[in-house]
Parts: sequence; C-alpha cells; structure tokens
Amino acid sequence: MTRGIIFNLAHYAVHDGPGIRTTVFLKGCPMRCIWCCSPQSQSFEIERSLTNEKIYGREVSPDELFAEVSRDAPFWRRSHGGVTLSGGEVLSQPDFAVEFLDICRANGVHTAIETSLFVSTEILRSVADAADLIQFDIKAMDSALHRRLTGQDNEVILQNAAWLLQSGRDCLVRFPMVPGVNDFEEELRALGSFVEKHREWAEIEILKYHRLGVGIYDELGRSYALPDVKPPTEAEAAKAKEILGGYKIKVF
Amino acid sequence: MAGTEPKYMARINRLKRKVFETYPEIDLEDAVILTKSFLETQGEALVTRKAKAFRKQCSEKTIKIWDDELIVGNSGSKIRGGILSADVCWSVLDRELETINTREYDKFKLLPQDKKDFEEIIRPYWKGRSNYEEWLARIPADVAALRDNGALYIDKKAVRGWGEVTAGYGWFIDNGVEGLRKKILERKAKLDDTVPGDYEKGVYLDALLITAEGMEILAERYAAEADRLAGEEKDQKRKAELRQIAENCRRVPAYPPRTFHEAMQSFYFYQICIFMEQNAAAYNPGRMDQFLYPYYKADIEAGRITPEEAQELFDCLWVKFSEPCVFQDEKTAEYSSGYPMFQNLCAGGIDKLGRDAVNDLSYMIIQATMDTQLYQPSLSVRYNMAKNPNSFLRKIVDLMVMGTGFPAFHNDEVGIRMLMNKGVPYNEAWNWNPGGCVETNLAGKLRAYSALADINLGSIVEFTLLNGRCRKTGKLAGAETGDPLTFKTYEDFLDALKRQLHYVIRTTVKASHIIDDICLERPVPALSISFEECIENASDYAWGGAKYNTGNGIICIGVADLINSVAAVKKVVYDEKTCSMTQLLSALASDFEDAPEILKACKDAPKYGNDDPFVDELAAELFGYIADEIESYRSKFGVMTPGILPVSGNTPFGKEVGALPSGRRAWRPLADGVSPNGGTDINGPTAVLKSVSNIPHDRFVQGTLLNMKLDPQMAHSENGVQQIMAMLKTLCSLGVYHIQFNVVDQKKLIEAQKKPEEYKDLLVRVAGYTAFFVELGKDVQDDIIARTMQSSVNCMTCG
Repeated sequence: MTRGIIFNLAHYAVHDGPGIRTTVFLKGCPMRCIWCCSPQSQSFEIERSLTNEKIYGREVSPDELFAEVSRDAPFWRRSHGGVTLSGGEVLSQPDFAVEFLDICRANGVHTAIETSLFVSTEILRSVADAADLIQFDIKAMDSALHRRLTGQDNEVILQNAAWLLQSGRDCLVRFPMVPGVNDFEEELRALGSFVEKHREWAEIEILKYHRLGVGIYDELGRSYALPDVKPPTEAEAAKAKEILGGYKIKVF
Repeated sequence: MAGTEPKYMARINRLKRKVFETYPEIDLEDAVILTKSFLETQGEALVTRKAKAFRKQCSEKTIKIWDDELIVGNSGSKIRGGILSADVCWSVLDRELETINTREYDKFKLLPQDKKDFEEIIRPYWKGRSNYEEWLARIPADVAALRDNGALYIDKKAVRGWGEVTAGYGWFIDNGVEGLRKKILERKAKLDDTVPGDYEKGVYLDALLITAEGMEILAERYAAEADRLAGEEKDQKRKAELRQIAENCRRVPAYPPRTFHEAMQSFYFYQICIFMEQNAAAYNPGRMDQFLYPYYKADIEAGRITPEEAQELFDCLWVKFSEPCVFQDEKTAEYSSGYPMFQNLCAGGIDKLGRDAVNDLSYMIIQATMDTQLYQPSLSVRYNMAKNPNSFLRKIVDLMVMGTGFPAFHNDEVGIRMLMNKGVPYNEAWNWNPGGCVETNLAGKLRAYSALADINLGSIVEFTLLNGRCRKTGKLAGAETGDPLTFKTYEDFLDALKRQLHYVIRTTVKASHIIDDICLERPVPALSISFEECIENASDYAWGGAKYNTGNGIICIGVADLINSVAAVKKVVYDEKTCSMTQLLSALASDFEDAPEILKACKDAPKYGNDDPFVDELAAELFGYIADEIESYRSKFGVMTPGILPVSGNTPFGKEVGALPSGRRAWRPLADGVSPNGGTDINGPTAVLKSVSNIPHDRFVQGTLLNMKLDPQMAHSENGVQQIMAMLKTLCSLGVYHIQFNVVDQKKLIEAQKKPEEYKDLLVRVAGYTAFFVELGKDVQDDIIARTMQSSVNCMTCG
C-alpha cells in the first residue's frame, strides 16, 4: 500500500461536506497562497516548530488511516456524513488518496475531497472517480493575479474546473474571499460567468478569509504575507454575494 | 426575539422583574406555626402531629397574591423565602444565625423579627429533638473519618427534608382532594381495630384526612383573598382575573379540574403544600406535558382557551417555580450552590403503549423556558430517538443554543432501562421522569434518596497512594491497602485501589442504614397522599409505603480524575517506566513543584475524553467494578443504587485532594459528572461522547451527567443546528444517558465575573442545574470558565 503524509485530523467537521465529517489534512502543496491559513500544510516533509515542541506531519497507510477515522463512524451514520480529504493538496498524493477512498467506498462511507485542482486532468479523473463529492477552490480568474497570489498559473485549474462542472459530478465551487486581494468586482464577475457557462445553477460557497493560522507562521519561523488584511465584513460579503447572485449560480 | 415578542410577555416580564429584584430572605413563619402546633399536640402520634401542624400552617400562614399573577400560591410568607424545616434541622440555622447573610454561597437576609422568633420559639422547643442532631449523635467513627477528611459528603439528608421525589401529581389533580378523601375513608372502613397493626393504620389514615382538610382550607383562603383583592381592584381586566382565580381556588384542589387553568392551579397548590411540609430540593413535577394534556385538549376542543393563553399560563407558572429558594446549611450550599430547587420538569418520551408521547404541551413547555429564561423549573427532555419527531428535537436544540443551560437532554431508552434496573417492570418504567439533576424517578410510585452520599474518587486515588491517609490532614481515613512502594505490578496497584473503593462504599452503606433508620421518624403525609399505595398500604412514604422502594443513591464524583490517574500510573510507572513509584510519590507530595518533568509525563499520559482505547477501557473496567460493588449491598428498602452527578460538589471535593497522578494540581476542582477533566479533551465533542460511552450508563441508575460547553457559533447556521441534532442522535446510539450544553462564551463569563451587576440575568448550567451565574461563588464561576470550550473546525480549504 502507498503510505501518505498527513498533518491533522479534524473530528466533528461540519463545514467540509454534508453531515458530521472527519476531515483528514494531507501534507504538501504545490501552491503558496499568500493568505494560507496552514503553512504547516505546504511542505511535503515532516516539520518541527522552532521550539521543537510540535511536530507537523506523520506517515500513515490507507488502512491505518481508515481504522483511525472509523472511530467516528457512529456520527457519520446519524448525520449522513463521512470523510473529507483536505490539505495541503490531496491531488499531490493521488495513489494514497485513491487507495484510501476505495476503502471508504467499500465500507459504504461517503467521501469528499477539497482541492485546488492544480494537477493534470488524468490524475484528477482518477481521484474524482473514487470520491463522492469534489469541492474545489477558484482563487482568482485573472492569470497574472493568480500567479501573484499563489505562485502558480491557473490555466490547468480552470480547464479542470470546466471539465468537472460539465461532467455532472457532485461539485461545490469555493471562493476564498480575501478583502482587497481577490474580491474585486471584475474578478467576481469573471468567476460568475465562468461557472455559469460550464454548469447552470452550480453551487458556490464564499469562504471568508480568516487569520486563525497566523500563529503557526511564527512557530515555523516564517513570516506572514498579509499582516494588514482583515476578515470581510458582513457588508463586504453581502456585496460579493450580490454580484455573484447576478449569474445563474447558487451562492451561499 | 425582541420585536416579535408576544403580547403576554409584558405580564411575564413584570412578574420576572419582581423575582430578580427580591433578595432571598429566611422565612420562619411556617416553622413558628409548626412549633406552636407541636406544643399543642404532645402525646399524639408523630404523624398526627405532623398532619396537625400542616393543617395549622394552612389555616394561619400569610396568604398573598401578587400583582399580575394568574397562578397563585406560596409555601411561606415571602416571595423569595428560604423556609426552615424545624423538626428536621432547626440547628443548622442556629449555627449560622450571625453568618447566613455573609457566607460565601446562597446568602439569606434574616430580619430581626425572624431572629427573635427563632431564639424565643423555635430553639427552646426543638433543641435536642431534630433529625440532624440525631444523626450527629449516631454517626459512626469510620464514617466521620471519611467525612472529616473530605472523602465523603453525607450530611445532606439530615439537614433538609425528603425531596428527591416525584409526587403523584397527575393522580392528585385528577382525583382532587375529595376523591382522595373518599379512597382514604374506603380504606379506613376495611380496618378492624382488634387486628394487630390496624390501629396504627387507622392513625395514619386519619393523619392523611387531616392533611387533606388542610389543603382545602388553604385553597379557600386563597379564594377569599382573591375575592378581597377583586373588590378593591379598579382595573376591570385585573378584577376579572382575580374573580377567575377565586373561582379556580374554590374548585381545586378539592375537586377534579374543569379547565386547563384549574388543573395548573391544582398542580401548584400541591407543589407548595409538599414544600411547606418539608423544605427540600427536587420536588420534581415530572411529565407535565402528559398529565396536563387532557385538560388542554378539552379546553381547545371546547374553544375555552387559545394556545397563546395556555402559553401565558405556563410562563406564569415558570415564574412561580423560580420564587422559592431552598434553605440549606453552609456546607451543603457549597456542594450545590445557587438556591437550587431542582424542580425537574420534563417533556417528551413515550406513552404506555410505547408510542410517541410528544404533544402540543411538550413544545409549549420548552417555549416557556425560552420565554422566561429563568433558573426554574429545571427543564428536562426525554428524547426517544425511535419515536419522538425531528421537530421536537429541533425545538430542543433551539432552546439549547439560547444559552440558558436548558434543557437537560436525556436519552429515553437508557432512562427506561435505569428504572428497570431499579426493579420497576417495563409496564411502569416507560413512565419514568428525570428528577433533581439527572436522577431517575417515577411519579407517585417510587421512594429513595436518589443522592444520599457523595464519594470523592480523588480521595480514593490519594488513599491508594498514601496507604489510607489523607494528604491534607495526614490522618488515616481510608483502608490500609499497603505501602505503594511494594506494588510490584500495575495489577498490585489496581488491586489496592479497588480495595479502597470497596472500603469506602461499604462504610457509606453502613451510614445509609443509619439514615434510613432516622428517617423512619420523618413521616410526610402531604407528600404521601399522592402515592396511591401509601393510602392502600396505610403506610407513609417514609416508611416504605410507596409501590416501589429502592436503596439510597451513592454518587461518585471525580470520575475523570480517577480514570486519568489510574491511566497515568499505568503508563508512567509501570508500562513506560518514565519514573519510579518513589519519584511519583515525591512529585505528588510537592504538588509537582520540584518535578516538572514528571508533571509533563503525567499530563502526556492518555486522557479520558479523547476516544483513546488505552484510557477508555480503564473507564469501563473501573466503573463496572464500582457498579458491582454498590449493587452488592441492600438496604431494608432494596438494592443500593449508583449514580454520577456532581451538582457542584466537584469544587469543594477538589479542595480536599492534593496533586493527582493525572497531572491535576492540588486543591483544584475535580472533573464534573462523567465529563473529561477541563482542558484535557482535545479531539472535540465526538471524541468526548465516544469516551463517555465507555461508562456503563444503564447501571448508574441514579443517572450520569455530562456537561459540554458549546460555542454558540456552532448553532448560527441551519447546518450547525442540523449537526447538533445529529450529534444528539449519535449520543443516543452510543448509549450515553445525558448531556447538557453551556452555550456561552468564556469572554462573556469573565466579564460577568467582573461586572456582576450587569449580568444579573446570565444563566449557566452548573452540573445538574442552571443558576444565575452572578449568584455562584467565585471558584464555581472559575470552574465554569475553565471548562474546555468545544468548537467545530472552520478552516478555509487550503488547496
């Protein structure tokens, strides 16, 4: 079996798909989003905090991981929940992810993945076929902006997004809203028309920027790129929602 | 809520304000009348004297109807009075005469006239005659050693009346006093005074008749007062209300009610009567949505009432529940602070045929607590996952997330099994109700002290490691189970611990038998009259006249401390040998001051509350053993009964226990109920429930209590509410008995502690009940603040 590297497990996760879920955070990501709330998710290596008190990352086999998350099974059953693979980037460990998702499916457990889609369509397809729900981010439509914010181009991401939306799979598009950074009106309009074009009445969730992970940068001896950005206000979020609401999409 | 508030809330808010603005006062009127009556009845049978004293109270006590009230009645003469059961425990007030208004918990004002009455009337008569003095004279040395070294709290029953009971309210209301009188007379007619025992039965039945007469006198006096006020009243609407009150009081409780309003008035009259008879906590109304429903249904069908009018009556009753303040001694107040009346009232559950019993009143009962947001009644729900509808669960969660601490959520199937484990067959166990905090009861059928004694499980660990000695006092109080340095294996250690448990439980049982004996001299005819079998057997509740009797409840406090300490010793000393037993003992002696690395190893050992099998299997083993031990004893009333409900006893018990191997520092509060130690559960609420499900709940038949503080953010979205509902259903699947949420944020609590005047209305759940936060002692407040805040994961995806 393929061993994977993960950095956290969240129980009673109620924002990562339907029901009560157990979310597994895979370690390692090809992107470097400047607002990233979990810097410990980026490296593919096991890391230690500067004080050596905390260790981020451990290796597990799909079997071991399933045994561990299954302790929450009574909650999945009552809530129609399941397991969500998040990251880091799930699609950067595709063999591990597929093996794990196959075990879940064999045991009747609902699965979801959360991904940036920054991967070849071939790999995406293999993982998407094994998961029940695909939740993916579109962080910016403008390619120059996307490169500046994440360190990577968005061409393959948009191709993958288009393919997923057209494929009819159970999908949720997410827009991480970072005030003054990616929430300009033209960006939002581009996002709305892109999603509408590939699937009418697709669902989009606005994820409001937060600063919960800022302390971890200090622990890792890194600096945080967005010291002055504040979470969106109610009014800002409502405005973004209104703009997106002008398209044939479901926004929440 | 504001803005859409129903019209009737104006009245309710005025009634509430009166409660908020009244400072609790000692109310000795009942005790003075009782004493005068006892002076007149010397030589008569005790139960006759009790009955005559009750009738005299009914005939002479102050009768007051306050503005805006629709349901009337008061046990004493003051709106927020603490009444004294002179015959049970007059001397408690004697000891605290000068300090009752300055003590740390549950202060009472004592007016000069009351003080004078106490010194001139009450003390001279009762000196040497109370149950409490009897107990102090009879307590055995080994019990006193446990008590005085903080390992056992057992005085509670001697310092107040019975309580911890659910009277047969439905039976009382439906029959009316006249109906009961008829049954008593029929029973009396079968007696033959030449048959041994029949004379005593006759005396008893006569006492019941005297009691019944008292109840009717009391109601008539309320009727007269309502008429008098109506005569003076200028406002036509209020005048009509007063006339209605007068009419109600002339009808009930003497006769079966004709309306919902009368049924509720009949209920409340009976409630004040039993409280007047003996001041005590936990006279539990029980399944009010069941016994009042026929009256509501008939009124609705006849067009006599609207749902809104019925809701207003419920809300008025809720304010009445919040008026009286239980009077208890300083020590007991420390163990259950907040003037806790514990009038546990329940909605939901199933009916006789196992069908869903949720009805319109079930929702209105929950709504009444949402409307009034008061600390009484102690609102509980019996949630039957198989039968009760989702809409009912939804209503429960809607109240939970308001942050009043209510309702206490009970898994119905486990409650039924607990009753059956008490010896009640299913054909009656289905009708169980929660009582007090989380104890199990059965209306008008079951007698026991559900929480006779509290055992300090922290002391058990300490005794095991100090060969029976208490760290704080250095005295021998437990069993001598050997020098821990001789424990070669973990099994040796565990064996010694079990022998300590065995010793303390055994000693407690002996004490329970003495209290049972003393309490035979504590007949309660007003309470017994609603127990069908007490009439049939012509035998008082106190004497075992009820249909079912069970041994008293023995309550365990410090569950997580025990489990985590055993787990830490196993891990640190025996499995991984991080330190030796000698080093551990020395670290504990210094409260870890000299041994930070041992403290760290202890803290790093697996902790209960994280769904970790290493420690959870110990929980199952230890609590299986404790249940076995307690159940192995019988009293003259039945098998002894275990329970896990701390009230607020985990705080004072903590003050008696030094550092523990779990990593808990000396003198800090112990864990409450079956909850994890604060701050040690780090895997969220699902892991807590999984761990807690390792306790054999069904066997702790006096109930098990789980506290969880919940971030209100979790309930702000529809999805959040749905997931809390799913979590509660999972709790039921796991066989956990109870949970209650403190849905308040720590910031608010800290602010409330700093500015109590601005937070008079802030309710928190303290173990089995809800109290005004600002009325609690500072360390209880600190304990609440320190409990782990559970929250959901709300992380932006990080692709």
